[in-house]
Amino acid sequence: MAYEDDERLKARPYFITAGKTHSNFPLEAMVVARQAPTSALRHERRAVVEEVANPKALVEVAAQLGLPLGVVRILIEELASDGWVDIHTESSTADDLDIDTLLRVIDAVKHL
Amino acid sequence: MPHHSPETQQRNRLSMSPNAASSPAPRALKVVIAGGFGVGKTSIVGSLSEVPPLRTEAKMTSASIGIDDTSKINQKTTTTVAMDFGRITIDRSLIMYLFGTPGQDRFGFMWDDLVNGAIGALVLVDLRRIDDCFDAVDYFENRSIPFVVAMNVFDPAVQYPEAVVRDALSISDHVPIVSIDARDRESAKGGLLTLLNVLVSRKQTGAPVGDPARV
Repeated sequence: MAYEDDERLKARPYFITAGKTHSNFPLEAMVVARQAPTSALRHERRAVVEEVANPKALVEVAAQLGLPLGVVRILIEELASDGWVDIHTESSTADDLDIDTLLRVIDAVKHL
Repeated sequence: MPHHSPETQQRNRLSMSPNAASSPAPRALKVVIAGGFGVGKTSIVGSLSEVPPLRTEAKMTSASIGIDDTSKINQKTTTTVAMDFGRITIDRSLIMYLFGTPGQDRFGFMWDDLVNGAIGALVLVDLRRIDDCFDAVDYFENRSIPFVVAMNVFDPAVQYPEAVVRDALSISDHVPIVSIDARDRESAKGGLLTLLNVLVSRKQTGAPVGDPARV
């Protein structure tokens, strides 16, 4: 919420996304930066890239930045096509998980 | 996505993190916390999450199925709903997200967005209002999504034997029923571990998780 006082983030959502209103990948899609942001990135785009220095789900990026999910989804898609971030949408349903991964998850939960 | 040469990718990865080059692609594991309004979904998310529970508002589109609005049955409506969720980092590339379903029936339509791709669900039950969880039980049974029934014990004086609860919910023996205190981390962990152990035993017996063997 470090950006809460930033007037620029109070722009209307369609302004932030340059008028684009539709994009579609799942809210748990994992986003991770390919590189650290440079001065070429401003405002919300920079905030998104900084937020995903470590991988985060789309929905968490939106929550942490206090921006609407739909807006962040469009920003991330643009950032991905410009090479700033990667979007990973590999399915991880119970059938996709191997037993070693499940045991790793159990171990991590036990140590919470 | 633009093509990048292996050299470029390598350089970018190295600039981010020394470990990134050997990391597998990041994946999210989704667990859904369902149940009636006020049953303790946000409490259990808070008990398990390593960060304070997060909230985001999302616009969800659905066919209008309001019972008081049949004239518009084929129209699409957009509703903004608040989603509460938490996070458990397994390792750098594997993160579990716990999503509480919005409690009101009228938001039932958005469950698909939350549940698609989930590894399983915890259905929270308040024994004083047991019928509040019927929708959730039906939902996961119909979609063959592994789930565990977790009785959130608000009042120790109100407890029933497991067999009575199982009968009231009409769930088969392969669905575990546990008692938890959603506000207590160790207790909440027990509920989540029960679900994870269900997934492990399904793997070990070779049964597809989505096709539980009936007894």
